Parts: sequence; C-alpha cells; structure tokens
Amino acid sequence: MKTADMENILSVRDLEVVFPVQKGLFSKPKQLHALNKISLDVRRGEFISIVGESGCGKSTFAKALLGINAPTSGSILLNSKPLSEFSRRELAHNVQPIFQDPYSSLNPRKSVAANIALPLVLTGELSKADIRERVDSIMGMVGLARRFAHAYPSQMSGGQRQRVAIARALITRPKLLICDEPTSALDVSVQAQILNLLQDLSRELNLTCIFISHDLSVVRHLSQRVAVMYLGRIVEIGDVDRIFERPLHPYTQLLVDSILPPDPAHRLPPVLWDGGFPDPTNPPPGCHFSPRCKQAMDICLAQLPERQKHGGVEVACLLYGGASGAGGNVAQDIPGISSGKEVSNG
Amino acid sequence: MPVNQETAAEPILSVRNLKVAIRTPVGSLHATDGISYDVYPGETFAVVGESGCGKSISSLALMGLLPRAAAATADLCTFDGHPMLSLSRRELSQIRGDKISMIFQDPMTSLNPVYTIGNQLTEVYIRHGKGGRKEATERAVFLLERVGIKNAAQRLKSYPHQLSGGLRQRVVIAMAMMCEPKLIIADEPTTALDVTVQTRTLALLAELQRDFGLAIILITHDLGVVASMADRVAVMYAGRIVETAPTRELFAAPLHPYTQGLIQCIPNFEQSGEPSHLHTIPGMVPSLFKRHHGCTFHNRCAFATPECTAAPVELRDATETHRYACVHTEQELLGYWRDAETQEVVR
Repeated sequence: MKTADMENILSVRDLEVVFPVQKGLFSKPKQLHALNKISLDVRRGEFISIVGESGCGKSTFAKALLGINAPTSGSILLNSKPLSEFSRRELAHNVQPIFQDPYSSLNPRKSVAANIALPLVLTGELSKADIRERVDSIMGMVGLARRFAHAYPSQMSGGQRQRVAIARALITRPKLLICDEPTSALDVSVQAQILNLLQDLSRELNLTCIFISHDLSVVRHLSQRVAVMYLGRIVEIGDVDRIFERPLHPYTQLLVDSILPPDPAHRLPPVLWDGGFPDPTNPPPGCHFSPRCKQAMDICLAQLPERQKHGGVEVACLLYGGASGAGGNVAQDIPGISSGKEVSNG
Repeated sequence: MPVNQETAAEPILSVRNLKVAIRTPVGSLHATDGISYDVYPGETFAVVGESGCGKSISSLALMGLLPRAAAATADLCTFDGHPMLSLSRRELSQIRGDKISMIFQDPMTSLNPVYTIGNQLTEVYIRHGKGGRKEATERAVFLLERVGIKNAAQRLKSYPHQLSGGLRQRVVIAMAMMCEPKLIIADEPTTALDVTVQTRTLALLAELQRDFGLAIILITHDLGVVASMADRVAVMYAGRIVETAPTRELFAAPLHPYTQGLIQCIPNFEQSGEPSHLHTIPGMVPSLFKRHHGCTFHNRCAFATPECTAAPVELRDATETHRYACVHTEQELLGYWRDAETQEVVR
C-alpha cells in the first residue's frame, strides 16, 4: 500500500479533532475526541467510502477535510501541501462538498443558476458571460434541464435539488469531492439516479471521491476502498469487496450482519442487546469496541490496538496481533474469524 | 389471504375505498385515492412506497389523527367492530393507545422531554383504566425488561434525553405495548436508527408480535425491512395500492412495473466487481392535485400502451393472494421481470 506522494491526492496523518463538551452548568468541560489519530491516504481518482454509526466521527472528518473543523493535532496534506496553507479560494478550487440535505444546503432565495454560480462569483475570476456558460454546461452534465435555471430550490424535488448541489460542487472544477450522506434523504429510485450520476461524473472528470455513508450496499456498489470508523478511529480499511466478503474486525462483522437485504429468505438475527454506542466523552478503556465485542479477550480491556496489515487490509484488533510491539499475526488461524458470515450472532 | 391458516379467521382491520383529501390554497390534494386492504390478527402487513405515496396518511386517517385540512371518506373502515371514521373524539381516544398503538419514526418527538419515561409509560395504563399506579409501574418494569432494558426500575426515573436513540425507540415500543393492543401501526419505526440498532429493534418487534399475538402494520420505504419482517405487502404509488401479495411472492415474482423498478433500484450488496449502473425509474411522481383517469404510473413505465390511460385500472387477481393494478397480463409482466433478472446476471 506504499504509494508515492504524487499518487496520493490526500494524505492524513494522526489527525485529531477534540471538542470541549460542557456536561453540566458548573462541571468542568470534558474532552470529546471526535477524531482520534486518523491516518489515511487517498489515491488520485479513487472512490473511497467511510462507514460507521452516527457519532463515530465520519462527518467531523469530512468537515476537517473541508477546512471547517480545525484539527487539534496531526496533519492533512492536499497535493502534498498542508491544508492550513491553502487560502479559502484555493481550497474551493480543490475540494468541494455535497451534503445530505438538499433542502438546507441550497439558498432558498437564490435561483438555481445563482446557487450553482455562487462559488465562481465569490472567487471573482471569471466574467459574467463565462460564468453563465459554465453554469449552462454543468447543468447539462448533471442532467438539469435549462428551464430550471431560473427556478427556485423550493420548486424542485429532492433529487433535482441534489443535482443542483452536485452542479454547485463541480462548478469550480475541484479535484476532490466530499460527499456526506448525499442520498440518505432521497427515495430509492431517486437515490439510484444520483448514485449513477456521481459514478459517471467521477469517471468523466477523474474526480477523487470521499463518500461518507451508513448504507453498506451503496458503499459496496460505488467504492473501491472502504474505511470503517468506530468512535473516532479507523478500525478497518481496505478493498471494498475484500472487507465486506471477509470482514476481520468484529465491528465490521457486526455491520455486515446488520444488513437487511431485500430477500425474504434472509432471517433476522436473534435479539441481542449489547451496551450500544459508548459515551464518546468517556470511552471504554483498551479497545473502544471491547464492551460490545463477542470475541473480546482480557487484553482487549487493557490495550488499545494499533492498525496493522493483515491479509491485504489494515485492521485495528488484537485478534490479529494489533498489540503495539507484538508484530506477529497471533490469531491468523482462529476459527470463526475466517469468514464474517459464520460468526453471525450464533 | 394470510399465509397462516390459523389466523385466517376474521380480519381485525378492514378498509375499503379509503380516500383522504387535503384542502390546500391551490386546490384539493388527493393523498390517497381509494385504497382497500385487510389486516388479520397476528400478521405483519407492510405498506411500502416512496415519500408522498400516501402510506402514512392512510394510517393517520384511521387513527383519527389527520391534520385539520384533511378529510377522510371510506365505504368501510372497521377495526375490531368499531367504525373508525365515524367515532367521536372521545371514543377514538379510548381505542388509541389501548387497542391500537402507534410507533413513529422519531422517538424524540414521540416522548415528552419534561416527564420521566416512568411517568409517560404509566400514564397510558392509568388513563385507560387498566389499574392503579402500582400495577402500572409493575407493567412498565415488566415491559422495559422485555424490550431488553436493564435496571428497568431505575430507568423509569430517566428523562428521554438521558437515553440513546435506540433505547428511546425501545421505550416507545414498550409504551405502545402497555395496554396489550391488538394492532400496532409502526410508521418507519427504525428509519432514524443506526443499522446495527435497526436490525435488533426489528427482531425485537417480531419477537413481541409472536409472544403477544399482535397485528402490525409496518409502514416503510425500505424493502430490506419489508423482506425481513412482513407476512404480506401492499405497494403504494401516488395514493393507490398498485400491488399486494405475500412477501415471498412479491419478491420472487413482482408483477407491477413499479414494484419491479423499486426492487431493481436497490444496490445489491452481494454483487462485487466493477460497479455497473443502477436501475432507475425515469420521470417523476404525478401531481396529486389532479384526478388521474388511468394508471398513475404510465408516464414512467417502460411498458405503457394507450390502454393504460383509457380506463381506470383496478386491482385484479393474479393468484388468490396476489393482486396487481396493471392492464398488462401476468405472463407479460412476469416476462419483463425474468428478462430484467437475466440481464442482471449477465451484468
């Protein structure tokens, strides 16, 4: 997985974002580690997804990459240059977001054309005629009829609004697109249209996409690589087919087992309540997943596993010898972890 | 109709030709346009469709919970012998929470933030005259334990904001169960929850249903939820039921082109390799302000013919349990489906 810096559009090292959280009126603020030592290389032109439950930090990560949340520590290199050294204008030409809710991410008082043109108008580099031309061509690309140019977002359906949001993101010709749950507010038939569009555009324009989602089927369909996050950390990362066919980390296994396929032959797993998602201001000691993990060992409560290479993917779990220092693959042949399907809540 | 012969007795809920119209400044919106269905004791009946198809409002109508601007009419709307649409508000509130309960999508808005959950759980029980505070508390503790909440007696003193989303939804489920209802209407009960919690919450609902012999109307947009939960399914489109069938039959041989499209739109988790294009349904849902003479789906349908708009399209029988509203024959429609399936395999 060692690639030259030139091939990586984005290189994140030990990124931490910490929020102070006031629990009571007079109590001392606690620290919430929204992102905890995140390291990630994103190759040029790849489609990489980030999955995890709500509160795992995936949106905070997106915001950090967009320069909205300042990192507490660690580094983000975009095209080998620290993100903090980019001016806002420069950043807008490189990274653009698409958010979940096309109802709140568009300005309701501006027409569709004005919404799309806004990033270009703000950079002030192009003449009005040029901007109009670009808006026209980008609307064609995202499949918006020209008659919508003077419509307002309130007159459009959710899918059309999301097309407007995509057009607005692409108008500055960015290299990196950050999609934060872009289809979770949409109906399935519309979701399919938007996913197809994203897929086509990313190929045509050679875009790099970081796709944040909780829907594993969508993730598997679109992306080449996937990173699974739990409580501010990446617990498993690698090729999407490899990870979903043979999930290694018990948390990834839990996610895969939770998928409800549109197939009546699929049985619901038996009801098993674990502790649920832990309090992020007071994470469990050792491996953060250990209180919910059926394969937890004593050492898991004491030691935080590091991410290690294991069979083509990287996984942070002591079952696979993630103990710092102990480099060996201790659990290579532990029965039951060879296939995620077999471990299903039995 | 139901798969299980033991429950084949009398439907607990019968709805015929239910119409809900919403008055708006620009005219009348026909949210549902004559829907009919039966729900039998102990079964899960799923109503599936996309936003705006009328799946929620039809249930609100029979609960008497419609917004003021909306009005419902039906030839028949009987729950357990009660004509639901002609009951007074007092009579309705006696049935609601007692014999029928509802579970809504967002557990935060269905719980009152300023009362403890114990207070809210026991209130239902006491208001319906099932017993005093002591019995109510015992029942609340029993049900909280039943839905998998530890230290139930202590939890009664918690406020909703002190619980996680998944826990809150389990409290709402326990609350729905307080008076031993015969029917629970669950409107997108797990849409706001994380996948891991969703699967467990559904498994819990299925278990409670078995143990207490509940009938459930499950309103959802998620065909995965339908497949894992429902005995029978009704697919709604633009205010009408376009297909109804036992779950296995619907997924094995969907007849209506809309149902077929809906199933094909879902990304297949099992499929690996280079991503291909997903199936899409072109066009948009028609305006519900207009009365549609023929099939409401014809403008988006790949198989539309002039006949589709010539006359009203009624539900017709494919088998005893499988009905669909399309002018094309079962063989034609099944042919389309098999073609689509083979294409998928080739892909």
